[in-house]
Amino acid sequence: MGTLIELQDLRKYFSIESGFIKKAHVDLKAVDGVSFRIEEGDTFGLVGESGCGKTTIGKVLLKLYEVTSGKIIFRGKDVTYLQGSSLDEYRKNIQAVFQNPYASLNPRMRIWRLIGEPLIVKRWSTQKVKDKVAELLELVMLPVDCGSRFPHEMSAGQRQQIAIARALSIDPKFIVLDEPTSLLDVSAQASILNMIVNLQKKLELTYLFISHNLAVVRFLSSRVGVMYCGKLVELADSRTLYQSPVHPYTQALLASVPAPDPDLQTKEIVLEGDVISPINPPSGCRFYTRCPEYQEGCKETEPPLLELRPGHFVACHHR
Amino acid sequence: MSEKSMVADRENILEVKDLQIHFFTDRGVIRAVEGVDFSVRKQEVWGLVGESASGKSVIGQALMGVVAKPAGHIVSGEIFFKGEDILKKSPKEVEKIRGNEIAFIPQDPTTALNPLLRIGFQIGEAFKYHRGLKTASIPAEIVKVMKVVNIPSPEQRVNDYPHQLSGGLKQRVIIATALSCQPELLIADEPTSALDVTIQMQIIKLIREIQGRFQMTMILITHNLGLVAKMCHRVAVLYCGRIVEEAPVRDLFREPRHPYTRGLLSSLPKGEKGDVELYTIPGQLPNPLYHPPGCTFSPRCPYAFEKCQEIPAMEWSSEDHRVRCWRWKEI
Repeated sequence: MGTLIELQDLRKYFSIESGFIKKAHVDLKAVDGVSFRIEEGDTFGLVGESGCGKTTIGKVLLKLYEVTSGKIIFRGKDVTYLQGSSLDEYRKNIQAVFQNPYASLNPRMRIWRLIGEPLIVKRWSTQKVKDKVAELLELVMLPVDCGSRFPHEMSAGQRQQIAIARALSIDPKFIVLDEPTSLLDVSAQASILNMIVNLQKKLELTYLFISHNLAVVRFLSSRVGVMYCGKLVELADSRTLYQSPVHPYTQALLASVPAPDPDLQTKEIVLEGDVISPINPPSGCRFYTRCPEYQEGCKETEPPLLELRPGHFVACHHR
Repeated sequence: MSEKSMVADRENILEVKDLQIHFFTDRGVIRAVEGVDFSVRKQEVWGLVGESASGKSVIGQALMGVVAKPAGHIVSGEIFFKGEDILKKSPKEVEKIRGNEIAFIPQDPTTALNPLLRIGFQIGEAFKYHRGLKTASIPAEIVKVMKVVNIPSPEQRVNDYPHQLSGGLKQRVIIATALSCQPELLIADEPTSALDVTIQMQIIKLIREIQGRFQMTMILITHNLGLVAKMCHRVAVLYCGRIVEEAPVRDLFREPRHPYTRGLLSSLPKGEKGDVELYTIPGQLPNPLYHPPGCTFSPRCPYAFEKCQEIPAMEWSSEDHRVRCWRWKEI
């Protein structure tokens, strides 16, 4: 299977106002030159801390944000600046599940309407919509009779199942999953993760899975990109990345998650300082302010993302 | 293990007996905590794990004497702190203990700090109330505490407002306020859940250093089993307001005895893509207004049988390991 979607040197800057009397506009560089591709039927995981730009990438792919520069190629076609009916056509292929199922479901709508809304927009008859919703509810393993209920009657995990059913309603090819389990308890998380895996097999879906939870990303993804301050710092298949991370940031990130096993505690790497702001990122390598392996020269030039081994990309001067 | 024996023979600093906390709401009574017994030994890190709505935070609030009134009531129970029942004390007496001998680290540093007050003032409040220090000597003390929690350039930072600090620094400020009177017991309720992973690591390291340095006893309330494995000596697992299992940390992860603990541990994502399916605990958490009779976990339990209609007794399966299940021997 070929490449489904490809990002080429994608940039998204937000203009923000600063200063009280002297107004000035500065750029918040949320995504600053990111390239990767997602193969059809695959799951690409995107990890990073808050403010690193991972959610922005998801929203750019959903065309909820206009890009600043760069290209998005979907099945060989440039979709970066689509408008009107061709944009509608593109959006039929791509859906999203967001983090907070308390915010993403309208509390005043019954569940069948919530799930069927994309079809109502497409002017399906009510009976056809209800039939399709029943099918979707079965697919996400919710009882069919819950269609007439309201979201507040459902638990957090069930709400996320509804959000998944809604995303599936128009038979998309590609789903952006933005932290779909981070608000759930472990037991509810496990059933959502299993469902995500099974649906992919059944419906041949392609996923972009965005999360800060490294264990969850590892469980789901075949390729993983690590982001820091708007840039990809490492990109590899999941096994390589988790077993032999190369970039100092990836190493620190992996070492920062305590294993749920008292006998498997890894070597600690504690990074000094805070996550830097993407408003005025430091020159050169953006990670140099916190890097345990900082050397002369790191702050002069920005390290390019280079292929270290086939399929394993790293942006660091010293690798 | 040596660390286990390190705390095994210490005396108890805290003993909680048959604690019951109910919330009387318009819709009915929510039995948040239904008879919880435990004791915490001097200088140990005791973990309390459970999923949301298990009652873990309410227990923390009860120990601090801040259960939300008017709905919340401690219906019965005793909390012995250094041999004295703090539930029998007057509000004035409890005030002397709270923040002084027992301190608290909340989950979200952003809502815990007053946005209108300088952080130096907020750290210093405890010195004024509990230590009776003169106003002149307080600033020096504040800077000292800020140094302990590694806040950079504390002399300038004392005059900052909370919004000028990052999440990690705010949590350090909270820890500084908690430490200001050198408490003997520190209750940390999800101290790192609101922080980024690399910042979490900094805070975990800081809390552990401080716990060792000041020889504090700590209760760690969390849902994060990784954090428990890293920090705790002993752990209790809470389900719907009852402790279902308590054990030294290694025993709990190696030989979980209660079906709920087993389910929880095996539902954690591990391994690569394409590996086995995760175990899922069937069913949903019960409605807090109508807990099922008998063992609250029985409707979701793969091992349930008729006897589970009665509440199982807490039994010691080994010297330091207790479990609340009728069938723990068989499973």
